[in-house]
Amino acid sequence: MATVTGSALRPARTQFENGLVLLHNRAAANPSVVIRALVRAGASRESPGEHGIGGLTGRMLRQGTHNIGKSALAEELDGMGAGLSVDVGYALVSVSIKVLSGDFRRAMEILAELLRRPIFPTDELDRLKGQILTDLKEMDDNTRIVSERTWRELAYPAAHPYHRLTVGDAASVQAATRDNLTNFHSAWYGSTQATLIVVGDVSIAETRTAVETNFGDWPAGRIERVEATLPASDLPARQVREVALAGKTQADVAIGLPTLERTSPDFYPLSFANHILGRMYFMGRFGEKVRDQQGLAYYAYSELHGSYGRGGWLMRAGVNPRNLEEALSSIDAELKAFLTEGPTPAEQADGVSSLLGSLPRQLETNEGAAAVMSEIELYDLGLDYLERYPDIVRSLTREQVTAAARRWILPEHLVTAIAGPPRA
Amino acid sequence: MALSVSASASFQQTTLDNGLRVILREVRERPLVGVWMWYRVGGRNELPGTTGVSHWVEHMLFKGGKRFGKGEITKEISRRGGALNAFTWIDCTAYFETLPADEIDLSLAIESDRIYDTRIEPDEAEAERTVVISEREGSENFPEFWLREEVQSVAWREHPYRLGVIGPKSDLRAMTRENLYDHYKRYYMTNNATLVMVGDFSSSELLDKIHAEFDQHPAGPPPPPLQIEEQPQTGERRVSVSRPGPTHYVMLAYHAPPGSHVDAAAMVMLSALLGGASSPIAWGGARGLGRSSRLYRALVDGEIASSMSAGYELTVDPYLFAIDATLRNGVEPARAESAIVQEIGRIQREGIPADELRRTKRQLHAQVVYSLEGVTNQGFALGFMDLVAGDAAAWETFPAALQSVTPEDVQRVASIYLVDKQRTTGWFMPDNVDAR
Repeated sequence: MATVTGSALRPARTQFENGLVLLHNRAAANPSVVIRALVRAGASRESPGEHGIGGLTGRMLRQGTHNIGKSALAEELDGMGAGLSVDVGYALVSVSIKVLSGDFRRAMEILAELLRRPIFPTDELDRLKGQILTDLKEMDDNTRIVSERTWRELAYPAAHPYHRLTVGDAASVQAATRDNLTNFHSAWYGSTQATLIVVGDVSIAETRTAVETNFGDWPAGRIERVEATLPASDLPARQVREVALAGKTQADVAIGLPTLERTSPDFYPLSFANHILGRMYFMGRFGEKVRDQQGLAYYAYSELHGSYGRGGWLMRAGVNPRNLEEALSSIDAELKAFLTEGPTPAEQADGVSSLLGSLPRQLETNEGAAAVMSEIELYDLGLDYLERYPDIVRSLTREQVTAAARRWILPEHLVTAIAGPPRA
Repeated sequence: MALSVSASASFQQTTLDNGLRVILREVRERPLVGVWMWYRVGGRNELPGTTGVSHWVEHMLFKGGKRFGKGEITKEISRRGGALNAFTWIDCTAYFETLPADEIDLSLAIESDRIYDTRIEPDEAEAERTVVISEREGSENFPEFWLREEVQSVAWREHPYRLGVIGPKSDLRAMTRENLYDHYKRYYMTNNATLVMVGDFSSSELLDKIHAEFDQHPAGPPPPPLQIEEQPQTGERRVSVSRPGPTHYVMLAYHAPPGSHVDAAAMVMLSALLGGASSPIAWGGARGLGRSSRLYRALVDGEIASSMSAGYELTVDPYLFAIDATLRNGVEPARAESAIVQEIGRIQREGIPADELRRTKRQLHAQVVYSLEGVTNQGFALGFMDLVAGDAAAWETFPAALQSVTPEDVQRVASIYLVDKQRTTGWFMPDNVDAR
């Protein structure tokens, strides 16, 4: 049976004088490096009425800085074969550069330039807004996105950042000004709000020097933990909402509720329950029932959002509208059965071996390792987390898993959102 | 006994007596193995009436054979922490498992069972019908799917590439279990497959195991060769799709040479120059490259489109060089089309500066490096290049050929292939008022 041999990831953690944290892991299998800056400047930092400002700020970082214009930046990155991506989440903006190891130093200089010295040119802001407005139209037409957005609106109170998608809406994007962005940047982009993750074919010494050179004098941002800014979120009442979209064939379904924080002691048993319900084998019990046995859907799975605040547990499926009632009824029955009986002994054993056996695979790529390292730092899991992880998983009992599922997946609070073609 | 053995520094290739091609590459950094089984059957081997049969058969190969019952393949891999999946494309159907290296025997047993002993039970085939239809319906929710299907269907008059992979609903509703089983029996055989394994193993020991598993299978009658040859297109073809949608989309598709053609490297370069580089030999790579590319600047920076892509893929037969754009609200398709044609014309007339070519080569080099991270991706690259170039060694020689492309090569292929009379142009026109 699979072991975790060879999966050990032992990142080195360095905290610089200005508070900036670096996590580094050497991996020489591919002559490339992933550099990722996690800045606690996501949508959760937005003031009421400024929805989308976090995302706009993140996306504008590459549109021009004091020392390099947008066009020159694009040419230089392409000339290095470096991929720059900006992902905006609720807690974080993640700015990543994937680069050949020989260009590591220059990539670090560019990353510092983007994070520290963006100028947010007004003409580029207007151009980006136009682009986002089209993106928003496409999102309004996307049944998977509309089902999740509707679910969020029902599952979280309006004051909570999880109530909406991070991109904002047409009105808030149109209203955004350069001042909004510079203010947001000044407040939240700083050494105390950032973690640098460096994984790949570069030494710790070279990495530390590059960080010291480019970020050593980066001033601190506001000192405020993300979780402290999140409002409370009472559980919603059980409800169902359908959104009709013209021209669609399939209905996408999102069913779930707010649950717990990543740091909750119940996270591991609940995550394990989710693994059995909607992931293991081929999309878990939901996939086995709704897809394999009944042939009602191409996909049916569930996910647990482990983050700051009450992350959602969400079951998702794509179903022909004719089969919707039958699919919803099967999903409900599977969930009830699990909450009543919990995992079988065989599922429990397979759950442990599948989670532990998959570790080397997850850590095979620099991106995979960077994702685990991010989690370690963001949730204070400790640098020995992966060494402790097998014991954490092995120590879970069926009773603990069942009890955690019953504590957090509460049928009387399940919100169901459906987006698809109009139904009679 | 092996008929032939060839070796390069990067992999070992053998053909068993029964025709199974075996490609092995030792990568000992992590205790993992990536296993790919490639069958030379896909959309190009299908006929109207049973379009989508290759893809449906792919689904059925997870449903049980002689040694593995329904669902057992997935469970056996999953409980060991492995990952598995499969895909069907116009040229192939491929199955993969990535799993701990000490579980390598399991993977061989699965692929050996699949090749001849899949049962395709009538009730299982029937249950899967709605799953496959549901897969298609998920795609139908996107306007781009309708546009691409329409463009593909008129870009060829004869070649089965016009039929795509998933199949129309009418075929998916009408096909029978016998259609599936006949197709499976016609194309699934050792002499129509390549087994690729990359990872933490000793090739000589592994080869013994492969013989033990696969030598028992006899070669089958060679699958029928594709007789259809598409006649050259002699004038532009135009299509439009009117459906509810959020905005306009434009697609320009030009007939392009196959992956084995001498012009393939220059076509990849042209596509990267126009729309940014992606690895031509494997999945994966970095996101966010190509913002200095010609069409990104003309369309996205030029406030015509919110996104665009230009793609030339390596295929067995001549396929398409396709340019897609999602238009910003209020922009008419004619404007986008004209901007794209103009940029192509500039390359045809003026060629490309050396520094731009150098930048593009660097992008392609980097994307190839990134795309070869991990045993699964390396296995893909070896198997894919074996399929489209006829030689797995092309996983190294093709990227090298990219670096030898000259500005004149790019100008030449742009002038030969990206011409009006070889183009099919498609517009997606949203017919809901609020999208205009």
